[in-house]
Amino acid sequence: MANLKEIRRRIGSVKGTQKITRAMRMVAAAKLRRAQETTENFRSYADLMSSVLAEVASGASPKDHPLLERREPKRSLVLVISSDRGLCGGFNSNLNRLVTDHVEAADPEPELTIIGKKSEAYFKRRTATIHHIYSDIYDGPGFDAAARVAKDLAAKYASGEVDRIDLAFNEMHSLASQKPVVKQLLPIAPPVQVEDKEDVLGPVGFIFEPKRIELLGRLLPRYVEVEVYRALLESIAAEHAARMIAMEAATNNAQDMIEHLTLIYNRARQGAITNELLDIVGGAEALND
Amino acid sequence: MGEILRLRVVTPDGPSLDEEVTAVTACSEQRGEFCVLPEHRPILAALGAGRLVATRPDGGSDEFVTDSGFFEGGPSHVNVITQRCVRVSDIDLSEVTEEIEEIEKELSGLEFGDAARGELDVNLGWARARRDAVDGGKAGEDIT
Repeated sequence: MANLKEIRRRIGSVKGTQKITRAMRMVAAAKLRRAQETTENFRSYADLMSSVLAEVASGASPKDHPLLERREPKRSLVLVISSDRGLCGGFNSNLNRLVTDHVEAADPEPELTIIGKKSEAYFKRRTATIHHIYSDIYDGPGFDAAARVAKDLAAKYASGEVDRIDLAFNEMHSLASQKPVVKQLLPIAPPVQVEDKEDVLGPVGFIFEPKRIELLGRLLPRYVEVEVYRALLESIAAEHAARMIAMEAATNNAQDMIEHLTLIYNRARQGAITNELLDIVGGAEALND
Repeated sequence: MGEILRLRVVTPDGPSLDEEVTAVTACSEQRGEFCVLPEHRPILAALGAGRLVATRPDGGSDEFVTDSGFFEGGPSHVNVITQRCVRVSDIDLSEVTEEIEEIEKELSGLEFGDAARGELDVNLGWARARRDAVDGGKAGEDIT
């Protein structure tokens, strides 16, 4: 009977876990919707900023602004955007592995600037050089927080302290697929103009106020902010999608386990009943004899 | 379409305005106001924190305050890219005055060259622009 009690306890415990994973899945789904909304709202700002920069930067030379200047990388940085929380499948481990490979393949080895406790903990245990850790970004991961990081990075690049900065983050391809990527942030590769701007007035030039080069100087730092925030939003959405999928799988696994344990429980219960019957029948037979 | 401009104001939090207007007056970085009408030559300008006035097709106008940003105009559209935008009628003067006092107090406690000044200066400009837009449009008068 102690065996039956043990199985019942285990079923209860798995059911409890399943309740938690189901709730986490629902919370992740709600957060994902909100993250996608924020990304969608930001898109019009980011797209307009890109098209304006493409207009101003067309024909600009790398010498026109320090953030465009290409240098032989003697010292480089990677901004790693991971999450603060776990239970999201391979979200953080895939990113950490990609960054490790990237760092080992690059010459000289880049230093790391980290957002998110998961990568912080991972790289602190390893030999990678950590340049800086932004620990408060997820307290309020808005545009202002991303802008602060972008300003820091742009200042480091413009002063010549570092010669290249990359972003490493998870991109959301679909609900079920998040892929870690490394993308160049600085020097800026200005977006290329795709649409035909020749409106009904024909190919007349823009009036720039102030001068084109001064406008470029104001636009480029803002563009870095846009790129950092875009990566942060992408990573947040990917994290919630990954957690949703992981919790869905955990809930299904718990269900499988409950079914399996119920089967064992029923079998054991049936066995116990059969034994009791055998005892009774055996006893009755003995009396008859 | 020759009489109408599509005015869009976008911020990082999302589009805050998308309207058809007949004229747009904005405040340039040098605090000078300029007006763009339909069929205007393409223009790209840096904006300072200040008033943005949209003239509606019925002759009335809507007033906003935008933070610093960029103004991109063409013959039939105007796009304003800015960090923040608020309708003048939604501004609470006493709240903004309090905000200005707080920022000024904070600034007075900082030394010149302190890194924190940059963000505070931006916020002060934004708060002053909102105050000026409400109490008689001083932001506009400054340049005349």
